[in-house]
Amino acid sequence: MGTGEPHRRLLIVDDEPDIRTLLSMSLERLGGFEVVSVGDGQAALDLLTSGTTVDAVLLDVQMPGLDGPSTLTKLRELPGCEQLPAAFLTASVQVSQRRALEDLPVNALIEKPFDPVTLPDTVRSVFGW
Amino acid sequence: DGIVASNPEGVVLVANRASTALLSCRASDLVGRRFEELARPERDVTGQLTLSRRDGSRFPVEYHTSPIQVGEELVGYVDTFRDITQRLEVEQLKDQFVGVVSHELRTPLTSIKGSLALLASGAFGTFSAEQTELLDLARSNAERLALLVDDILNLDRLDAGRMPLNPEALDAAELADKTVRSLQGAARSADVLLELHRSTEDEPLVVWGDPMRLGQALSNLVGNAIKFSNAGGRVIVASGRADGPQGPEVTLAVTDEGPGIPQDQQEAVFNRFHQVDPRERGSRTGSGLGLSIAKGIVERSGGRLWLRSSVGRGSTFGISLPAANREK
Repeated sequence: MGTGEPHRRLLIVDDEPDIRTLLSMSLERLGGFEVVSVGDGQAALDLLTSGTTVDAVLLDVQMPGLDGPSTLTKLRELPGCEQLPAAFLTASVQVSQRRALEDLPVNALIEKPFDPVTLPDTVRSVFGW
Repeated sequence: DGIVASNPEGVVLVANRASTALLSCRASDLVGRRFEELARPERDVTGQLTLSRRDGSRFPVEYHTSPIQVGEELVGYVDTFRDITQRLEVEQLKDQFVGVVSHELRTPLTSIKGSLALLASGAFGTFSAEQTELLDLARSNAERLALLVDDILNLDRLDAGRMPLNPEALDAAELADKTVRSLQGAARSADVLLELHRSTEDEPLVVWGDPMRLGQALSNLVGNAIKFSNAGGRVIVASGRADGPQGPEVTLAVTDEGPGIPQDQQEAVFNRFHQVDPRERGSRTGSGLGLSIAKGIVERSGGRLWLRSSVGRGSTFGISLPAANREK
């Protein structure tokens, strides 16, 4: 991370506490991002409507309650969030499932399991930072 | 099974008790009419064949028609069918089970592998030599477990025919090249010489198959050959054409100079979890599933997986697939 590089804030949405911990450690300690993490889709929407601004969202796909795609759909309806950069974290291997996800208004799919050492670079590359 | 015999025009002559029971009708409803009039066969949106009971309700079936010929003359048909409602339900439950198990097993594995990787990166402090050794031990075993979980889930999906295959026109020589290149590192670590013998054919060796799955099958064969070779041994991967029992074939053969497989074990090696005699195996380990997975993939791709081997003379494992027509 060089000087003068903008400080980016990421919103992580994943129902698994350990995965949230891994993602935070990877993205904060190795990546230098600021990380806000929540455990479900509704909490993510509440956070965004309460005035917190973020530079991008990482959404787990399989979650109880509002799953990743449903959260994304609702998120895009929030004022100011229509173009918010977003990526899915998905373990889907099936081509049909991946295509269905790619058709949604999301910037990229990031594969699970992810390598926490290279994840910050992947995030930078998918969001063009 | 419901059994129905009809004349060459399709008019039912005889129907067994099971057929009338499955269709909830009387024999008099079937005999003397065409089978389709009562049973009204139709395919649903998934392509599954269904028949109608007398009350209009439908059920999924497995259906076979056999023409009966006396010499050159067609004298009628014998059709058999069975209700597969329960079988489909079981398969769907199994599907869901595999999906859940896959997620449940992979999630903690992700956490284990991920946190170990972060520790090993040095970003959270440096370790002594002994600590590093323990860390490496944990990581390699987590990797081993992850591969085993993958293997088991693959095998289960193959079993029920649910492994999604995405076939396309595929150049077998290119597949061999790619596989050999991806395993050179493993070969070097095992001090094994891994060679690709390029096909001398002018025409590309085209088959119809799923490159990822066939690549997986070939990788399993090459990985095994490396594992069972002694230091300094050679493993050769060769592609070519052959005349098969049902027409022209493309073959991919993996030959090693290892201990060879005794005649009486050559069928059993393809069984799940089959492990070679521990005295031969030494420290070589594996899930014991690689060969059965490879066999499943190759057979589902319309080909066969064969073995030529004798004790003390090494082994050749081969994949033979029907050659794709050039016009395809």
